[in-house]
Amino acid sequence: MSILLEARHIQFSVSEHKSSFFAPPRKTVLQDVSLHVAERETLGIVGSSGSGKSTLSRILTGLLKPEKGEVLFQGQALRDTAGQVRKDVRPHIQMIFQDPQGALDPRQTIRQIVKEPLHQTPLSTEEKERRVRQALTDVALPVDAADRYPRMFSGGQRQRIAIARALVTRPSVIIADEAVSALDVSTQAVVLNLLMDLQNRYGLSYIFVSHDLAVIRHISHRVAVLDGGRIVETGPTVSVLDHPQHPTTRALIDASL
Amino acid sequence: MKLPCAPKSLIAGSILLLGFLLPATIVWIWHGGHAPFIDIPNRYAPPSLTHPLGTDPFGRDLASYVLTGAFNTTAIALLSVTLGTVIGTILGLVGANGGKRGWAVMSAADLGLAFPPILIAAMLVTAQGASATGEILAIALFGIPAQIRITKQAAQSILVLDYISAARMAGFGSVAVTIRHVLPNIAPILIVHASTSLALAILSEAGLSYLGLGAPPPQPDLGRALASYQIHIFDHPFLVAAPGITVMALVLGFNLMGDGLRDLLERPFALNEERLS
Repeated sequence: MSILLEARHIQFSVSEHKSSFFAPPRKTVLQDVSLHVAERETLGIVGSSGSGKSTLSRILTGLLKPEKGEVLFQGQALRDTAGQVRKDVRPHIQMIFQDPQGALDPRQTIRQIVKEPLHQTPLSTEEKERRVRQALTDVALPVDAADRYPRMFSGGQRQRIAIARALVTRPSVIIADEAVSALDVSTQAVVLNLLMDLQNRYGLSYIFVSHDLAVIRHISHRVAVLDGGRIVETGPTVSVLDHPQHPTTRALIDASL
Repeated sequence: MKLPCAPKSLIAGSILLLGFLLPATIVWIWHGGHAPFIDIPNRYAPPSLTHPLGTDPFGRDLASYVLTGAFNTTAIALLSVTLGTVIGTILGLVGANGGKRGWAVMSAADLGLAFPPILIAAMLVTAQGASATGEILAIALFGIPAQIRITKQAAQSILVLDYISAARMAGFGSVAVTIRHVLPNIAPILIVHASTSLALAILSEAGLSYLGLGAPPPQPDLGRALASYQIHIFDHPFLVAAPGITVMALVLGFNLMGDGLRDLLERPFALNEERLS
């Protein structure tokens, strides 16, 4: 298995008091985080709130720039010399966000929303339209959904629209930040199965960030446990969750029982 | 948006404004924007069929004088609010995007709020003499700091949402994200604020010209009419009541309209739309 996306020694911190006039103390969010995901693999990242999960997923997608360390896509740096995410890499890394309410612009139609990631690609208008339709079909939404607005859909449907938006560029890896946390349990199962189905069909890799061990156990092949900005334990999902070595992992498992 | 479910305040405000501004526009066009004819022998005439509200100390028809004044006041208010809204919105969006530029804009807005509006108006008039242009600039200037803050606040509440992150990932820069996603989503707030600002601008215009900082005579003006006729409040009450009530009606009309627009535009969409499934 070849490594698709890799993070090396990532460090990130934020200033604690944003408006303080004097040099504020900085709070370390991520410290020396290294991880990778291979082709067709799902890496689960678990951790309690405040462990740096969301920051890590934003760094992996290129939305945030790490202070130290680097993110590599297929062995090459994610960012160009100017510090921007490389244009040729952008379509390959997509993200599904936590809150299906805030992830879709209420003033745009589903077509506009799903088409957005194709903005900088050299595809023709017809090809873009075809891609949008294919993506909507992939997530089992009717094609006539394209002309509707997000408010007309339920939470689960909206998350499927968000998945369609992530699929439309035919990405290699999708980073899902608490992608099913806002959904009820039965909808969670439907969306998770959809994601696993898409993985088989398109050979996708996922980095699945969640605080929910049941979800992680269901979907991921490997798991990394994040605590206080460090990875404290990593390994195949079954062995980590069934034979936890680190106290944080044990605490997470105990809390979920 | 169906008309039957329009809020009552929006309907009431629109009717009130239409009731004053439609005749005002007709009279303004009729007189070519000038004051009605002076007819000294006929001064202080009581209400009659030819002069429904009587005449003023120059024998001019009070009704058409007041309506022309209402048109001028509204025009000045509209121009200054448009100017203030456009400038304030652009600066507010710059402020919301942060960075050194954003910080500079917000500091300037805070500084602007610290200056009393009347002082700014007096300074502008001293600098270039009393005129409608000076008045428009002064009223626009009053509104800009508040417009900047409202825009910034509204834009920031949008900028933290995930669809902004999604757009950034697609390669859109700050300006493109602002135009595509931020502006359409804060538009209702801006529209409501603009219509409330119009009420305030009318009041400011009347206030400035009451103090003699507005357009000079013979341009009909409600504030100036109030100032010069207030001595007649007991002997010729119409002279004071007509411009006074007109100012009040315009302010009330725009305020009601603002309230109605708030109800119409800012309520959650989900309430009046059926879901798909």
